[in-house]
Amino acid sequence: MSLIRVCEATKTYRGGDGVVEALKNVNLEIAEGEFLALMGPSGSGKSTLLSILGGLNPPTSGKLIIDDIDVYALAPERLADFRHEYVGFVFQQYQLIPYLTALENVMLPLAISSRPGKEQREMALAVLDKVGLTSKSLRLPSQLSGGEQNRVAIARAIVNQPAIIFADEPTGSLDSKTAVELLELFQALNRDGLTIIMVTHNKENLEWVSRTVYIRDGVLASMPQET
Amino acid sequence: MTLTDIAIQNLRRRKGKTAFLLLTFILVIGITVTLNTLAKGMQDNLQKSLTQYGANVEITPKSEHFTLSYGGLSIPGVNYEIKSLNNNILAKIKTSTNLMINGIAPKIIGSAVSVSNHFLVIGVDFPSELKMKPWWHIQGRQPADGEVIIGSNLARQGNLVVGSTLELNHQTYPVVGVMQETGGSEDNGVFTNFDTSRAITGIDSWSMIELNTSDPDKTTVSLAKLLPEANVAEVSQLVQGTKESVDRFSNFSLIVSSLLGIIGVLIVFVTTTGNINDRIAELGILRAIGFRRRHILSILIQEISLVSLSGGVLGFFLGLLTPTLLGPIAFQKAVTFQLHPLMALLSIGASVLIGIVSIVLPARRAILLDPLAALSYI
Repeated sequence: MSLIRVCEATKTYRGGDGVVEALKNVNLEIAEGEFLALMGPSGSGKSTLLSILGGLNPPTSGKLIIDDIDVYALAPERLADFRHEYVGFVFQQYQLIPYLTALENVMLPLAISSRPGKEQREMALAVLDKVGLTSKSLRLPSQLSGGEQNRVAIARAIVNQPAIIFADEPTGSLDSKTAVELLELFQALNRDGLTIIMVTHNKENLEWVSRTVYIRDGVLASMPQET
Repeated sequence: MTLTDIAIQNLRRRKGKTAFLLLTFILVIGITVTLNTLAKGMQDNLQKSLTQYGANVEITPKSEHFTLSYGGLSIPGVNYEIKSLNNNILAKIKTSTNLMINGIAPKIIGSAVSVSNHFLVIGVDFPSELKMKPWWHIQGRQPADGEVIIGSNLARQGNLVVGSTLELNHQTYPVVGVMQETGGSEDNGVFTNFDTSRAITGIDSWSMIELNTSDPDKTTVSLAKLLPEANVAEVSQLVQGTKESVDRFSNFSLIVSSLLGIIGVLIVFVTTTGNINDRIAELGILRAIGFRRRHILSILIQEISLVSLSGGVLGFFLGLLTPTLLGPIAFQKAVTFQLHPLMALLSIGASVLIGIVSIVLPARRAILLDPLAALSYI
């Protein structure tokens, strides 16, 4: 049974050069518990597809069904609630709030829940422990390394126990050792039952995922063969 | 963690921007309160002068005046139908609660003769009169029935001293006091109590009633309606000029306060717009992780409310302290520190209002931006 279904999704943008088709009639199904990589060259439409899957960017036509919910049929504020409940994001540049500590950044998604402060703190500390950052929980993002900031971003994405994690080039700005640590962490989370969809351009990352979807010129394509 | 915690942490950790906004509110509210405190202090001092010294409303009997003229030549006319001021009038004044009267001094004024002179006899209630005219200084004591005190000129011209006697309408009255020179009509008068003045002059009604009131304009209008049988007139005072200056300063304060309010809105608007623009990406992250528009709006409003409220409170106390400290230097007058609850409420309320008004447009723009567009600011 698919957790996510993309049906005939098309996305067009109007730019200076006229209409650009970023996605063309994309159909995709993702099962619960998959660790999926979205791969493709720059400008292929993989980030557009990720933002559509994450409920951030409605397709020009087509549908996104997650857990039997027609996501883009929801009113804007219900769509925000949907993201809060179902989705966790790990952005390329981590995107932590600079004036909040690591712990406070992780607690952010819980701030709009009805959970009491003590419970929020306990949950945030538990996920910080999971990503190995308990000792640095009171540091500001500027006092953390890139890898540590990435871990805080992952902790923030999973603290609310969402069904799906979307990660946009999470290893893009990390050295190879830190990138491996991060992928191991994703794999551990995936083993715990979390569905993870990761955009990457690095083929080395593919050995960690359960399936790879290749996208080129806005359409799903077969993986190019190594020459 | 709550939305308030997020707002507080932003203010705490962006010290420079918070301090600039706070300073703007402190200065706008501080200067406004300073000007208004000074204006109010000056008005209070003036009011104190008005209420402490002298009569400012005068009630006299109404009479019709008849002018005779022939061929361009006017001759003195005659007064007729002179109405008297009886005790009912006094009772009406005393029972009217809306007149803001601080003192009432009725008088019986008439004349008396001796062998060689005419005298102006004035019957007064000494406690009321002395309260209204603290510049009256009597050498001797206040007169009882059958006794008089005399003005300084009269004493000098007649070689009269305390212990002398004065003949008025064929009766002899002991002089028990001499009033020190005032430079006014009192210097030539003979003063006594009501019963003795009635006995000397034969006048049974009030010749004049002097009033001291906190609001002479309003009291004069009210009394004119209340006492149609009397002439009610406001006594022009030397303080009138001062009053005009104070009124001008109050108007100036009001104009400057309004301008400062507008300038404050503009400064805060520009600053908050800049701050929010800097945070578009951050607000996009919040929207991406599920914050509703009202959550974002709540954070922005709480931030500006905290700053404007703190700025308003600090500005208010700065505005109260400044005149106290600078008053003696700038105005050669001490301004007493007084907490005005209404002014506090208005100034702090205005501060918060300036903050909220200034943030409406940038906040609206921020919350209407879709999350992906906001994230593209990264």
